[in-house]
Amino acid sequence: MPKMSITIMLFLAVIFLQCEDTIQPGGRGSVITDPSQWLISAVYDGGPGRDGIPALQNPEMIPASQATYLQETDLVIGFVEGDEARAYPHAILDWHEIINDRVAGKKVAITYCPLTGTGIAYDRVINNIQTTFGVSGLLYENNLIQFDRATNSNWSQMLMKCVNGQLIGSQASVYPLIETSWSTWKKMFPGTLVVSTNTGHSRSYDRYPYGSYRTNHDLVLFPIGFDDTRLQRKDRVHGIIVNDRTNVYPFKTFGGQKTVINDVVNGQPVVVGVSGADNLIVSYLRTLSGMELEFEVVTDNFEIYPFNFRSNDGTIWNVLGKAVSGPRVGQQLVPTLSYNSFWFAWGTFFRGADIYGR
Amino acid sequence: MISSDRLQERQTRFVQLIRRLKWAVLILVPASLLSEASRAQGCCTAGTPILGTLELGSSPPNTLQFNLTYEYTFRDRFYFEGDRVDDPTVYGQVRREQAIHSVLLETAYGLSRRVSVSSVLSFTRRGLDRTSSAPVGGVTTSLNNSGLSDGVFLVKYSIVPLSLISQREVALGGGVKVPFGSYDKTQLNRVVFPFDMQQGTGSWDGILWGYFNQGFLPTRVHLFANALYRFTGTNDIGYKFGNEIFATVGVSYRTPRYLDFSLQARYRHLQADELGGAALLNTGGDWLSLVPTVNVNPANDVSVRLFSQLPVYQSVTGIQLTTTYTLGLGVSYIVRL
Repeated sequence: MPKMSITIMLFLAVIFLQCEDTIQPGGRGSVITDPSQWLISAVYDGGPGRDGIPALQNPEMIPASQATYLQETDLVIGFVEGDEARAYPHAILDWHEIINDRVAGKKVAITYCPLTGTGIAYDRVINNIQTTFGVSGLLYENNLIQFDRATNSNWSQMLMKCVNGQLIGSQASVYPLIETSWSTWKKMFPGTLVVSTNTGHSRSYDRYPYGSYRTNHDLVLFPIGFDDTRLQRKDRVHGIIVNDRTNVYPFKTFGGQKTVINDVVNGQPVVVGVSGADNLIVSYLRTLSGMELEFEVVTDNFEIYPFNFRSNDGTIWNVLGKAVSGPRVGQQLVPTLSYNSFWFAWGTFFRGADIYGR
Repeated sequence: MISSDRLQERQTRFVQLIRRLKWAVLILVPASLLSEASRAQGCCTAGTPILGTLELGSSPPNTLQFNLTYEYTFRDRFYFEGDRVDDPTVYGQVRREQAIHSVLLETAYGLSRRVSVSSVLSFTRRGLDRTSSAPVGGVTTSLNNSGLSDGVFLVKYSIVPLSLISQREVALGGGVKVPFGSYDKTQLNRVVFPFDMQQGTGSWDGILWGYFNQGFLPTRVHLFANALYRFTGTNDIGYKFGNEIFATVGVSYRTPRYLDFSLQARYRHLQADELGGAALLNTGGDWLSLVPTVNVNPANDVSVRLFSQLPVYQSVTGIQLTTTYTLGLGVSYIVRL
């Protein structure tokens, strides 16, 4: 009888020894992830796999009046190019994370990571080749890793950098976005288009898919490298990056007030405009044509915009950074490299960030 | 051909060898499966079979018992809470098929009439196919991971040792689950496998165990029950798999000759996993399954077991992939020392 057991054990051993730890082509048209070098470590497989979260391509857009699925306080990511304004609601992006679109001729990928609360617009033309982005299913520090379909290279959304694949080390070209409430966006851009729920995918867009995640400060889905406890994990912050230093402006610091902050980030003068009641923070460089400007908030004429800026030369600037009156009328402030984020993500990506008000 | 005398002589030598080396066997046989060279593994996450094998009572004194079991588990059904989900993409999930092959070795030794020790070690191969719906649908990627799983070591104490007269046994026990399996293993592309594709939990867990068996002479019918509670630890990345209750109730019937039949109801309750102390989404739940088993006993010391596990009820937290069926084949061999 020992002989029988040994025979069975050998049979089972043959079954198991034939397997390798692999990523294999599965069925039709399967994909093999590039196993080459990474610029980052501790990359997690989030579970759904590549394209398991389906990015949208040129989705159907509808006028604001038809977007009945949105509540007034819902957050949207807004993109403006020329005379065209488009809103990409969190309610859609929570399910798709990437929307490849074309706005006034500009080829853009609106990327949004629900786990880190970060929305960033990527240029879809890389090295003169037009591409689209997809969701890799991989995560770094809980943050989206997206891939470009032209080269299958993987990009860290928050680092705005290719971290794996053919384009490794390449820096992304990104565009400024405005994140605010749907009601504010509609007021600023009455002619805006917004993504329809007719996406070609069956999803419950009126339901947030991550339960209590947005408000439960204890809940993160994957280990984080550095837990900066100076703020609560899910506090939303507006972060500004200047080379290797960052400043963050927590939304909760401002309550409902409208204000303008003249600040310096890593030696770079910046102005930060805040309307807490409208869930809106924008930021621009304060240096224009070699001159450093000082700003103050103007709140006596905000039938369109929540606030305006007034610079010390008497110019009035709207929240888009455009001079609407005064000596610099028609000029444009340069947007900072910035985006909004949950604090825990910013804290681990950009360790040692300076927090406004502390 | 080997003559019956030589066969008997070999068996005698084997028993003598085992008798001399009984402690070494108890430790080294499982340990040999732990080496990387053996490519052994086990599983302690989704569909974990290691606790399910701890269904034996305490071993008689001076007997060494080996149970070698092969299990195949297939999972392709999604449930949202208590309801079957036909299209998981509606919930933001992708279609998945997971196949888990496990080989488990349980080794038990009776130290005395009341006290015995046992260990379970396992090696598991996990495969996962994920079919996406974008950009055009139907693209499948596959993951495979294999290796040694976590192990279990138990000490069992018979409060009521089995006797021919009473036909009853009651035993309690306790032990540990040892984190032999990997919990942060990476794929060839250096991406960390999903948690449900890892072989272990990375934590030391405590286990409480209880067993009851009652025979009814002369009917050859036995009733048995088994309960197990695993209270889990936290691994060094802050992940804590949910505490687990595992309970079975069954009836068996022994035919006059070679066959036994049994039918068990197996219940599993799993608390939500936690990361940094917060309960994670889509983890935890309750499962009830039936386990029909046929035992073939070609000799006194040997039995071969064929079984299946068929889910009859599940109520999960959120949406989860659950077991469709399990098939298993086991061989038991008892060495009397």
